[in-house]
Amino acid sequence: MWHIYDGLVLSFFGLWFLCSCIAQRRVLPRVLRRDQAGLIPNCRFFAPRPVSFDLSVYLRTQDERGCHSSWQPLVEGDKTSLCFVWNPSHRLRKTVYDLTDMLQQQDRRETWHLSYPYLLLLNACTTAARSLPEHGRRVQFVITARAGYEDIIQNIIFLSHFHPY
Amino acid sequence: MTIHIFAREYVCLSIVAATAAISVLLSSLESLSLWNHYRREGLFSWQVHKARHSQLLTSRLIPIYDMIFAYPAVLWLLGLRMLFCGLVLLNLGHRYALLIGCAGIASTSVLLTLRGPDGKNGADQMTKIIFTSLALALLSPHAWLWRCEIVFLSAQLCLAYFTSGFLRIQEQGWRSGSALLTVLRQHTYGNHFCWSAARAHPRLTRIASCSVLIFECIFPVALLFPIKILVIFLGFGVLFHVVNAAVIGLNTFLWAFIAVYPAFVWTSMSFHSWLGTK
Repeated sequence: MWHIYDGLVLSFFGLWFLCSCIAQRRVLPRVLRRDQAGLIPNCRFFAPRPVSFDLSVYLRTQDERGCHSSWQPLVEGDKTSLCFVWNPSHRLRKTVYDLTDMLQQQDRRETWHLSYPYLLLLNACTTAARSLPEHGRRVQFVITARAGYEDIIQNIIFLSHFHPY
Repeated sequence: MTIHIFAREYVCLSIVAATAAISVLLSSLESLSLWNHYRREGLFSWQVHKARHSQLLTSRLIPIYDMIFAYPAVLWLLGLRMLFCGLVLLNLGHRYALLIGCAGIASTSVLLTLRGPDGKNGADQMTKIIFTSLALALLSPHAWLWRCEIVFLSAQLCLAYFTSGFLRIQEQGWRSGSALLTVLRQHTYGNHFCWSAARAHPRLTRIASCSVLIFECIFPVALLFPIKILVIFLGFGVLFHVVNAAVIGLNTFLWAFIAVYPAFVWTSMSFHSWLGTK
């Protein structure tokens, strides 16, 4: 009985490693794209080209008269000197990278606002807008990219519509 | 219990499990500290996450998913994962307790992945591989499957380093050190002091970048190194991850990747004994 189990597990390990090797190609086979459990690794970490820009999400509100509030960051808090042991804000920033990546992979630009990453960012921005001191009726968000410490200029890479909240 | 008979393999696997559990514990604590983002109106909202696939929304399992993935149930899931980490760390000598702990961490990690993205990274990926394969291997009482598990983990570690190194060594930017500067200049992944220092010393930056590329590319070959050289080589790996944690802030990578080093050493020693060399 155990020998059958051992054989099955060994075959599974072999297949798993084979799929892991295949998955390192640029274009994933369709069957591996269905790995919802995330058991097939992506080992590219910063390869072949590194992430070049800091991505940030800012939001602003618009009141009844059409006046805009100032832009506010959605994710606040920079890395601290304790980041080598405790770095939860990295998860928020990583999520912004992941969502921006997903947003840019959308084929049809005219339906971007119906996509999952857009809705997720809008959901978070709407909540953040409610907690702003300047209350408005509608919210808009922007995703910016900048060259970190080298350049403080924020380039707009995505600007949302205004949405009532 | 058969542990004393298969002491070496079991000890190796329990060290892997304990070190990887630290990574999962840290990761769960960080996720819990962001609890408000898991609410309906947060960045990790399940109500929006479940809209990412039409199959998910129409699935018959959606009431169960709602029950375990919505706020605040997801926080209990993270808490449960921490309890399983505790079980692993406190019961390294008991195979069944270790098995339950590993299976618990593996299943909660898979569930959290199914839930949707919440800033998971390569460390979460590696720990998921470690605990899923450990749970499958430890269920068997046979040491030879445990040996296969150790070799499997070593192979996954080689794949992780080699893929990253091989893809990067082909890029001129990584060989010249300019890509490293690009990473260091960012607030998210970089560090102002290190960026300034690297810019002021381009030759040192190039050496640092090339050293990492060489380390990653030759990692699978290191299995053939004599044990003393292998320990020094893996010491460089530990240093690399410590620097990554301190400069880039990839704190969980340190524990997730060095967790597999004992398995790599075990595989190398077995390889040498098979070849009849030292």
